[in-house]
Amino acid sequence: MNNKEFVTELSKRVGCSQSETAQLADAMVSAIGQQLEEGKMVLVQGFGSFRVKKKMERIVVNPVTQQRLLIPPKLVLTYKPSNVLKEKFNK
Amino acid sequence: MDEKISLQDIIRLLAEKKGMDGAKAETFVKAFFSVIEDALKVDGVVKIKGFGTFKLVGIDSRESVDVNTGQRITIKGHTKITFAPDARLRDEVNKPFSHFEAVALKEGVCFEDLPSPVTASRKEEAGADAPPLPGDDAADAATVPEETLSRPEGDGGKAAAFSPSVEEPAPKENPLPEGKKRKIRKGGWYGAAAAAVLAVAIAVFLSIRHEATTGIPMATDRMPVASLAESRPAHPAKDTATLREGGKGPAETAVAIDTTRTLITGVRKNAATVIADSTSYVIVGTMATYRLKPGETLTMVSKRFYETKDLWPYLVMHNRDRIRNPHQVPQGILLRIPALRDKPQRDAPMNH
Repeated sequence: MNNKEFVTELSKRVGCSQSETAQLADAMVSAIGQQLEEGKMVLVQGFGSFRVKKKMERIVVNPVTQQRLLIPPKLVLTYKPSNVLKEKFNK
Repeated sequence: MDEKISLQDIIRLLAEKKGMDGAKAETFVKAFFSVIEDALKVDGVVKIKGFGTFKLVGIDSRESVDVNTGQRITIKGHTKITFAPDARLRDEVNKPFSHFEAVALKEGVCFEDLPSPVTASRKEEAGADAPPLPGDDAADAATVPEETLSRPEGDGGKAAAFSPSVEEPAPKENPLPEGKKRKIRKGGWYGAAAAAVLAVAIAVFLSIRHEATTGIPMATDRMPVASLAESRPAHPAKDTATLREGGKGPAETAVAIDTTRTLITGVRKNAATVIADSTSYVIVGTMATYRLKPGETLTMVSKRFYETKDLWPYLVMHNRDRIRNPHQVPQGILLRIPALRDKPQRDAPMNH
């Protein structure tokens, strides 16, 4: 399902127009993104949790040239599904 | 760091942002996630603009061995829910680290002693010994550039720090105790001075070694994401310079220089390529002003204006009145960007 279908479905459930729904979804996503940027963890009951994790720097070796590269540290957004949700898909 | 935000907080934020009714926001947010869930059931994949893609991935059942009994068991296949953040969100989240780049390593760089806790604690000690803050060092070193420039070994040290190809630190261990021994034998009357020298030498050695082994600065875990923290370790050369200035008993200074020279000459051979360092320019006025964005660091500003990250000390120096501590730069301050000009160098550049 792509973004358009998603918005259509969402607008049907909420009872707003599609453009309104899209705006709301944007606002919500950016609000969540802002919280995550501040290093906070976003917990959604029954769905899962989003958090920013730090990956340490590491060394990789190109197997062909044997060239070693130092990959810098980075912050990545991770999602961990809740057990409830996992159960639902594993029936 | 790990403050938790629940669904209620998101609902509140959304309601505030859009000026809408709390109850309506709640139904919206709940519907948002339940639609994702249902869509996953139907399609197995949902893509949301600005957020990311949720996907169901089937994991096959596989055989394994029970670690306790040693028996062969089958792990049942299951469905995994994956999430890949949208490129925009991914970059936003990684913004504090976005100025780092992958660095190619040359032969002979040794990393074995990198994460050992012992070296870490020793490093801390050394940091505590060195009195001034790195940023202050930078500024001091630049305000007395005559001093730093007239000593080639200072440049050598810096060059070593920036060149990723520094030879492994083990051989450098030797000149250190030797120098100390010689000093003690020569004159008993400055035993105390020798102790100070040893402290300085260890500080220098550790900072060089730290830079050398990491290749890129690794003090990043101290960097809080929201507040602007500039946490690159100080350039060792500046450390040496200010340290020397700091403990300026006449005998001490001379001895310190002596020790660092033996220490650094070994390193210099590999240090031919250095682009910009922070003592070879003078400030000739302000060329622009720039408002610091949240999450931005001084190195990023330096990169933006000078195309190198290494000139950030000039920003500190030129904005002394606004930046108290270069590790904690307030958000949204207006920076004056200094215009820089090459300083006529008295020493030949470091290619000998």
